[in-house]
This record gives sequence, C-alpha cells and structure tokens, in this order.
Amino acid sequence: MKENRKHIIDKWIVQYYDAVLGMALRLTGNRDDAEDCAQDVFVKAWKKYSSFRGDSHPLAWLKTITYNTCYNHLNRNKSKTWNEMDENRHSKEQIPEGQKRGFDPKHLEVLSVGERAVLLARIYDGLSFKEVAATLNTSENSAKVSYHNAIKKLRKVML
Amino acid sequence: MTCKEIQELLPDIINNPGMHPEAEAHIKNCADCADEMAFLQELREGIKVTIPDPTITETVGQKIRLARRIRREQVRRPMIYAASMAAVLALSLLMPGIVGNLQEPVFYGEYEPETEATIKSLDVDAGWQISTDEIALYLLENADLETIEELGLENYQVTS
Repeated sequence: MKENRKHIIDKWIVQYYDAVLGMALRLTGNRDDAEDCAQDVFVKAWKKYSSFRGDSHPLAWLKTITYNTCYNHLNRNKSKTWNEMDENRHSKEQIPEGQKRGFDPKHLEVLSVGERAVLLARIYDGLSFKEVAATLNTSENSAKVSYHNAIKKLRKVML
Repeated sequence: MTCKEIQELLPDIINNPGMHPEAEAHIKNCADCADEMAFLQELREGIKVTIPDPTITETVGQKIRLARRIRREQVRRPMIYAASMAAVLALSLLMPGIVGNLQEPVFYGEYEPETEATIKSLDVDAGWQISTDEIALYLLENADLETIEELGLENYQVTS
C-alpha cells in the first residue's frame, strides 16, 4: 500500500504537475510563489494520501489542495505584488483578434485574494459555488458575493 | 428562472454547454444575460491565453526537485521514530530499569516498512522489551548528529 502511494504520487507529478502549476500561477500571479505552492501541493497530497477518495478524479482532489494552499499562501503574503507574468511569452499579441475589451493578467490584481480565488475556481476550473465554498472554507453565500464583486471590478477595468 | 439565477449559472453553461437548456434558451432572448455571458467567455479566454499551463519542457527540473523532496520526506519519517526513541532513552537513562520492564510495544504508528522492520528487529527474544542499549544503537545509526549530541551519545558504550 505504501509502495503504491510512492508510485502513485510519482505518476501524479508527471501527469498533473503542469496543470497544478498553471492554477497556482493564475492564483498567485508570481512564478516563484506558484512554484512553491505547486511543490507544497504534492507534498501535502503525499502526506494526506490516505484521505484521498479513490472514486474522485485525482486532479479534482489536487485542485482543491491547490486552491487551499495558494489561498493561504496569498493571505500570509499580502504585500507581494503581481509581478511576473512573463510578458514576453504571454504577450497581448496572443489574444485572438477582434476582442472588444482586452484582458491583461494584471487586471486580476484589482481583486482581493478571496475574489480572485472564487472567480478562477468558478469560471476557469468550473467548480460549483458549493465546491468553491468547501474548498476555501467559506459559505456558499459569501462565495457568491465575492464572485459578483470580482465580475463588477473586472468589468470596470476591462472596459 | 430569474436573470440573477441564470447569471450565476453562466460559468457552468460555458464549461458544459447543453447542461441547462432552459437557461440557454433564456440567454438567447435576454440582452443582459447574453452580454454577461459574452463577457465571461472573453474573460475566460483571456485568462487561458495570457496565463496558460506551463509546458512539459519548462517544468522538468521542478518535477525532479519535487520527487527528490518527497523522497527526503520519506527518509525523514523514521526520524520521527528516532525522536520518540530519544525521549525514551532519556527517560531510561534517568530512571534505569523502566524501559527494560515494559511488556508492551513502546511505540506503534504508521511507520514506513523499513522502520517497522527495525522496530520488529529490536523485539529480539524478549517479547516487546527494548533495552537501553538497543535504543542507543538505533539512535546512533539513525538519528541526526544534533540529537546524538544532545543526548550525549557520541561516546556511548554498549554494556551488554
């Protein structure tokens, strides 16, 4: 069983690390923090492997840990800025032409940590409000309020 | 359904089209909801394009570091056992005889197979009695230098 855990986590690192790091990047807006969080996610998964329910998809479980880890990390380091989204690689030119309002990663900086986490979990990762609330340890109602505030703020900066 | 309820469903509609036919029919006839949906689609696409998942080639080094870190964590677990043993050793040095008289296993826990094997190997012929010498020998072989120094075990002499 323990040998299995070792092999399973190794397999997960190969299969899901990039997705977890991508989520952490969107949440933290900072490559160093994102890498720290992504690494912590897998160490936590390894330590808490016994609580993983085999009937759910591993990535869904890792997503929950990622949101939780990044959310706590951001709350602990509120002074950190959204400082590197590797503008050479992810430049605006890559956004399909014809978009009326341009989205810039820096726009996410106007959101509070909670608003950003709820918005990304909801519109990018497709979590329901119930799942968002459970993941971020908040109420469903409070998740909805954060979501609406986030949309309102982004509409303002993207117009 | 009200516009507010439908707008709360929009992320689900974007991620899984066809799941909410009633809401989707409403959006076709409601300018506000259609506008909100277009905004969310654009936002989602913008995030996807500007902050994508990294590629495999960018993360090879990170994955190797992570695998090594987890290996280190695995090695560190027996140290938890060693720390517990250190506490018993300290107690046994202060009150000789206590540890030697134990009839039950001193520590049970979810150990790695190697540690479990070590514990069992310590349980020589005397049931679950563990002598001070055995604890000291285990620590000398497995504990970190700091613990060994703290317990004054650098020059420990096995008595039996």
